[in-house]
Amino acid sequence: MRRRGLLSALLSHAVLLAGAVLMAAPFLWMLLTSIRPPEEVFGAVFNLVPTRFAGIENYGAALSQSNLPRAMLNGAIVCLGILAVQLLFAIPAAYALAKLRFRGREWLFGLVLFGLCVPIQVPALPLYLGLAQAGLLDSFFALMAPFALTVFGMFLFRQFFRSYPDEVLDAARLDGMGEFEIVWRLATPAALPAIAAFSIFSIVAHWNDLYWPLIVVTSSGRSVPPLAMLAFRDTETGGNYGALMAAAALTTAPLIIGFFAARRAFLRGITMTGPR
Amino acid sequence: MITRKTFLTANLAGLTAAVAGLAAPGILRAQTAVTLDVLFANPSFARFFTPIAEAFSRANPGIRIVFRQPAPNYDEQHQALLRGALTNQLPDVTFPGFNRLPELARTLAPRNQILDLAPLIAAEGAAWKDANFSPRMLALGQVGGTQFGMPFNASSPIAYYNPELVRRGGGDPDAFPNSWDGVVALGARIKAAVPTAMGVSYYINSFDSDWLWQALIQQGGGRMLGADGAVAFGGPAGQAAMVLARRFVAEGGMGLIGDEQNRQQFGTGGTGIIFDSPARLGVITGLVGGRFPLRTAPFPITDATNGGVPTGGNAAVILTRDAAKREAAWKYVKYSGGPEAQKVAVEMTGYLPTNLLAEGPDFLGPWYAANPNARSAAMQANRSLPWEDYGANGPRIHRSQQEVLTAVMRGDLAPPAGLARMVQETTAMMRG
Repeated sequence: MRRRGLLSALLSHAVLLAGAVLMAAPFLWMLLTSIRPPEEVFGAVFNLVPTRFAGIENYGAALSQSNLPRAMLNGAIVCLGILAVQLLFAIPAAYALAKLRFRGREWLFGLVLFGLCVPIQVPALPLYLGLAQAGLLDSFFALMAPFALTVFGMFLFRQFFRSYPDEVLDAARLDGMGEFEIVWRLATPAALPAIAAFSIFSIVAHWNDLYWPLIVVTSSGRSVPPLAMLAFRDTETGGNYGALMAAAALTTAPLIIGFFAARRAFLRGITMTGPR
Repeated sequence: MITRKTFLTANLAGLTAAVAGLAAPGILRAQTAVTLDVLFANPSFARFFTPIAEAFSRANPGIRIVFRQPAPNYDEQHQALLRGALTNQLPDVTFPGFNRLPELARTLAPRNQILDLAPLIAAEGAAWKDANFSPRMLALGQVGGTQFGMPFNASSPIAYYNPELVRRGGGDPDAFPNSWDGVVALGARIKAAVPTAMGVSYYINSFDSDWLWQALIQQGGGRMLGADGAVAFGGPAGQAAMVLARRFVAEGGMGLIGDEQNRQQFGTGGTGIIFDSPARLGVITGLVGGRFPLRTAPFPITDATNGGVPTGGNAAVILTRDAAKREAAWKYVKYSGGPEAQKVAVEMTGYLPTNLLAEGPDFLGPWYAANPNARSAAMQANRSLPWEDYGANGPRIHRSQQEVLTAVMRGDLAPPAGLARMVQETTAMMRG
């Protein structure tokens, strides 16, 4: 019996390990290429570890040959701005959808589900024309506005709030708490794992987004990391792969650090918000 | 008169600021200077656009150049310009790709959003024009006979070869064959001497545009489109090109792999001869990385009178409608096409100069002497032909042509049948 347990544990860990290697390999490759000299990136002879350390020139190029530092600051402003507004609207909306009884609730929730099915490409043209008419193109507002309302966040938080005990809410109401006070002082702290999980989704999506910035950003002062990285990926004269990978490593680093910082809350959030 | 006054005030303001100290020199000048909003494609081009703009602003202190976030490639730039035309967000000056210029000009001209440069060139005098530009080069910036663009970067395909493999194949690295029969024969001998290598690779099966395919037809004296705009490559030049495409594989030892893989394999010393853009000289030199002494040669031309090579690259166009900005924009465009700017751009990329004076001893002469590989592109500058454009369906046409070419090269389709199918498919797709 114990033998079988050991065997299955070994087997499941082997499968997990294989999955982890598969997932981590591109990142490892990115880090290795970012310290490789250009003549070794595509070599006839394959060396896992570069024979000459070229990290300084590659990372130097990544930081100096484009506006990457400025773009990363812009990316941080945009991502945190989007996240703040998203939470401000999604949490009360999700609470109302989950816990308040009012006419048309199911219908509104249906609209939220419908919104989940609409990709950004569909409203992109009217949004662009509207922003152009308002003279707001090439601004932080243009980068953030289309993502301020998140149906995904509403859905995620609603699922979370549904499992929140009604007794606590009733007690709070008896004690004279208003609905908004309940949302921000009771429901929000309880939803922290879900908020952490959602924050990771939101920040990763907007940090990596190329489609929308490519449309609304025209000046390099409003550039975001994916746009700045394009400087090293060039179909016309070929790319500088070492610098490209160095820029990619620098761009991914905040996300990876952020994930490890919020890892526990993130995993709890994912396991607790499944549809029930 | 007004512009001269503003120009003077700009200088005066700059002077006062310089005298007054370093407190706020930028602010005073910014109020009176003309600022040009400029968009170019391919972000890595910043490495020559920026120094050229700096040199230009030193020579013209009243004009400031501000670059937009560069477009990832010519197609994205084209999309951004069409969006800008719709919402009045066009830059003042932009550098569209030669193959996108006709469609751009045809869209913007009826809206009065693009400037005809011919009167400005005429105002500079015929002597200036003849000293700086060959008619064939200027023609690259014309659409329907109107000079909308001033050629800035230009490139036509050249041969890159590995002299060590050429020598092992019994060839002379100092005398690269100037005929296609010679190239294929040399490829076959390299393949025979080094069976693991590809003798010659002409990767029209995977190149990211139809540029190399057009080159194979234009060098034989053919054209993709006739004067009436109809498909015109069904003739003898097309037949010869199609037969040649098959011979690269059947005789020259070419394998049908991707374009990036081709460059990488060449870089590692696994291919004798490839054909690519001179703009990739820097990249390919980097890939080779000293494994062998890389050499280049001009593109072989079969038809000495009508033959040529399609020209890639971009031209400067002026989009602003403001009179003061137009004057400043013309100064900038003129400077970009001038020998100082061309020297900077050519030395950094391997493009061929669009200006006649730039090749002279005062500018690129010493650099060419030190970098003979870069000269192959300049040697065929007088062979420049327009990169022909099929219109809005261009990318789809390229893909369908590539499928036919792959089938022919693989041997699944006889060259004459392949050409007939390509003519038919291209005609159908141009119609709608």
